[in-house]
Amino acid sequence: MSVLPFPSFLDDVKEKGLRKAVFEGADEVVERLTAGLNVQDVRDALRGEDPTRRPNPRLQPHADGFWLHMRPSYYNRQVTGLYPSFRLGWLSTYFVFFETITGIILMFWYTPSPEIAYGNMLSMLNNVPFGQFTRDLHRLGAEAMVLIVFLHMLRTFYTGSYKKPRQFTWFTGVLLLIFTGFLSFTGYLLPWDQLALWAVTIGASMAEATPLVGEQVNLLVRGGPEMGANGLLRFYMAHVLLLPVLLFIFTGVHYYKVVIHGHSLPPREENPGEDTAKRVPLDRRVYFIPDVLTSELMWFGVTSFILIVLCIWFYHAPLESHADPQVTPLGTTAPWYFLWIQGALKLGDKTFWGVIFPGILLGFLMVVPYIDLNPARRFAQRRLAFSISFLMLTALVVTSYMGLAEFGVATAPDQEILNELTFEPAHNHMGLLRPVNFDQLATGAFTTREFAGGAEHGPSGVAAFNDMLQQNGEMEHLLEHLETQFLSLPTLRFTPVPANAPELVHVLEEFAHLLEAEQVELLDSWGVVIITPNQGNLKRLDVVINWQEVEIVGGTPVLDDSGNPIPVFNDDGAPVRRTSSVHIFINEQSGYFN
Amino acid sequence: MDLQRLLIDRMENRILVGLTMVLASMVLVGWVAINETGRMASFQQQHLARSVEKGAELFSSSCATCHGNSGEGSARAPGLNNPQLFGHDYLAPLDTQIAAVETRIARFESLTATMVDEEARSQLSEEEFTAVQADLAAIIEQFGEDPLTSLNGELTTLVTNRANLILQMQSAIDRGYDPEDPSRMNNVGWGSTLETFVLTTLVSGRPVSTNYWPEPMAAWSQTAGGPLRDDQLQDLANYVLNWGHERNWTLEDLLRVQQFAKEPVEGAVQIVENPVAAEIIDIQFADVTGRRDEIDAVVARALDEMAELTGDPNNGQSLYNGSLACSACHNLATVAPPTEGTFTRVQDTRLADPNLAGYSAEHYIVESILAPNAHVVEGYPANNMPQNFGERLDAQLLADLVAYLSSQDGADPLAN
Repeated sequence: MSVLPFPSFLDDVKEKGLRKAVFEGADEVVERLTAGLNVQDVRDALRGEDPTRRPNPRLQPHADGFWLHMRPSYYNRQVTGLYPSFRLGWLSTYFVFFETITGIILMFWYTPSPEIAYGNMLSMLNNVPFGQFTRDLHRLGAEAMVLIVFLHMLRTFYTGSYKKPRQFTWFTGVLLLIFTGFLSFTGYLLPWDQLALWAVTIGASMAEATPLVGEQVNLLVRGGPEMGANGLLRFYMAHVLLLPVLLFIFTGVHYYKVVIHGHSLPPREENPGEDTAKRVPLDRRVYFIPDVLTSELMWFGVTSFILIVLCIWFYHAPLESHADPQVTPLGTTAPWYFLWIQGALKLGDKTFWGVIFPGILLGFLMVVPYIDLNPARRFAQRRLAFSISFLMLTALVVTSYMGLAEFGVATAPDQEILNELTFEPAHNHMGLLRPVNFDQLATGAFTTREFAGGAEHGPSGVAAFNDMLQQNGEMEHLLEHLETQFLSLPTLRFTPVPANAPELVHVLEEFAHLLEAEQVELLDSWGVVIITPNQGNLKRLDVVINWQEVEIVGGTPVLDDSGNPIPVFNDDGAPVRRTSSVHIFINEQSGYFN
Repeated sequence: MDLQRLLIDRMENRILVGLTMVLASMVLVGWVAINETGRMASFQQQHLARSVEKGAELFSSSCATCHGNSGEGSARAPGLNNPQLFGHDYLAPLDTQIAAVETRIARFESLTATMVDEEARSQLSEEEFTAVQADLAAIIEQFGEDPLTSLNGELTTLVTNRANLILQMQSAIDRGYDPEDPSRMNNVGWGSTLETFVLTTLVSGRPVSTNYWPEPMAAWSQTAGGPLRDDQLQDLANYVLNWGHERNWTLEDLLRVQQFAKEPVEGAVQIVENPVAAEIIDIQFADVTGRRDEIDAVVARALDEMAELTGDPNNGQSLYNGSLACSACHNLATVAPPTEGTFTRVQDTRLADPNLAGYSAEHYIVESILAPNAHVVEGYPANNMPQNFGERLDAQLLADLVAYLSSQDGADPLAN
């Protein structure tokens, strides 16, 4: 007779006593949760003891439970250590989940619209607890994931693990590499800052080079001729929906194939053409419960800890100024993992190097296991494959280097120097003038002639500079030039940099060096820094470079027989002097100098 | 491999390392949480500072032309580096002191009255009486035997200081500053913050300001068809507000302002006591011929009245640009002939019209104001100008208006 009108736990208590009923009830709950292991089994497993009953209860969760049905119940001892996998496949999977979770959190704070997106970034940074932290984790995870997935591919290649019967596993792996790259790339745009807009504009401009349908592809990707509201929304949808779905599906396929064919053993453990991975001898079996499970939990702890430490002290996701299609920053590059395409583009034809070449390369990667029919997995027997791979790796490094802004893009040296002195914080660097302490930005006009080598330097150099400007009428030109930059000054008198401004001295010295290094193209040049007060806590800094123009053909100065540049003279036979300048405002609270 | 043997092969070590790492991660996340408030605040400040820098750049290229390089204002737009905009009240400290002295005088007078008045005194209880005595004693102790004289002396000094202070502001007052009503926000009845005032002004511009400035302020926001993005407007607003950042406004700051805000005068019809020509309002173009004699008589009477008076062109200008809103139409020659060169145009062009034989320039201008349909300039629509100025103006206002229009004797933009 039940205590209640239906059978219940109370009946057990009545029958067996409270203590026994509770223990048995707990046992049952645990057994249901673990799909087969009772409390005793779990305790045994965690103590590293052998299973106490037969059949082995630790295999039960793999057979009955959902979560473990996709994991093998035992591994070959050879593949559970660091070598040969370096845990790269596991790490890739870790990042899939890590990015999904951090990404979902970020989605709560983000609206994919050019009007709001950047403001969202700011509010995430100044108004959302853990906002910056989560963003840092997501961004770092994204960059790390691209690297890890790529290394995973290299490892698989060098251990020959892609060979029969694992060809299709490799194929899906290359797909996953591509999805990872595109996921990272589409995410790049979302903050809608200058870095995002221009890196993605460069990347997406390659789509335009697609043969025959380039224009259509371009329109499809960007939702318009330029990256705007539609483009942002499309990238967002691809980033949070299309690509993750593809990634999850193919991660499933990939892992299914890994389990079906077994993890490949180190090359020396498997004979050529023979796959022993699935038939694991009894003495080499390592069971998932408890060994692999605890190992994975440990790696989970270690990896998360490393990421957290990095994001607290060493890495912060970049955020530059608001995206502005009108202003192209100097030295724009694609994201680092696409630099190789940008470098290849500098070799010539946009369509070939931007679309066909990467297409062939990725296509070749996908079919490698179907082409490379050599069954051997040992290094010594795969000389050709290794040679080709080293060639490709070298090409990747070289083209990536060529993709950097400093390679092959001719910018006028005066613009380079002005940029070097003033550029906004980007890629964790900033113009030399910005970090100068606000107190040391003394109001006044200062010249590089004070720090130039040669006879006239120091205070006498400044005096000579003042005299020179007065005599040859350059002073008037300078004032007129500043007027066009919306700075009206009645007069200008250069003075030596005050002794209590060593940081400013340092910048002007550096400025003088930069000019000196370019003295062939910037003949007889001088540079000045003019600091004027603007508001109580705000100063205006004008940097001006003036030089004598020389003949330039194809971006390099023409040299005469004795190796000197040839000055340009105007119709009256007077040397032509040119001026360029840039100005910035510095606020006391901007924190560049922390 | 040692790592392999120590960590990976021994399960208890794996569990230990994993647990340690998870715990350490939790500690670190907790540490982040503790520092989060400070981090967010410092980011906020730093971002605001950098936004001001960007705003400075935009201001120097887009706004300084009219509002002045350092926000001092010009004849084209009011100063923004301006205590008026930030609502600084120079008189407030003195006013507080004056109010305090006045309160004290009132208190003393009421206490003395109570003591003198037998009836009032008899109504006080013992305690109340002691309290009144104590109060009086305290005032006398503080201000001497004759507190009223000394308090009144103090009051006089304060009032003189106040007047002197206003005197020192005279040049600002001449440029339109009102020390008694020093807050722009109050003047326009703005119910929100200064920041939103600046922002909304930037967003939509000031189309109506044509009435009192030579040109309207453009709408700067892309939302309103202008050139700037919302974040840039925010940068600009931050820059403008930065003029008031921890600022102790001095008199020099006020005197440095070249131009103060102009108030749009009420557009409603003003009541004048002696309308100059109430009889001839609302005459439609078709009725002009029939009522020609009447018009002539009234205009002649108005001219007679005006002959006794001297017009003030400055007041005429404010009427023209302000309450009468003439400049709203008389600006671009599309709706009505432009203001520029009105007098030249009347003399050189209009009076050459045979219909206007025998008219003086003044006669023509007065008639055109009081009965706009009497002579409509070719190319402009009839019945278009308000026909009620006869009841909105008295002789003096009309004289002011004519004095102002007479000063428009530069080149006539319509003459070619």
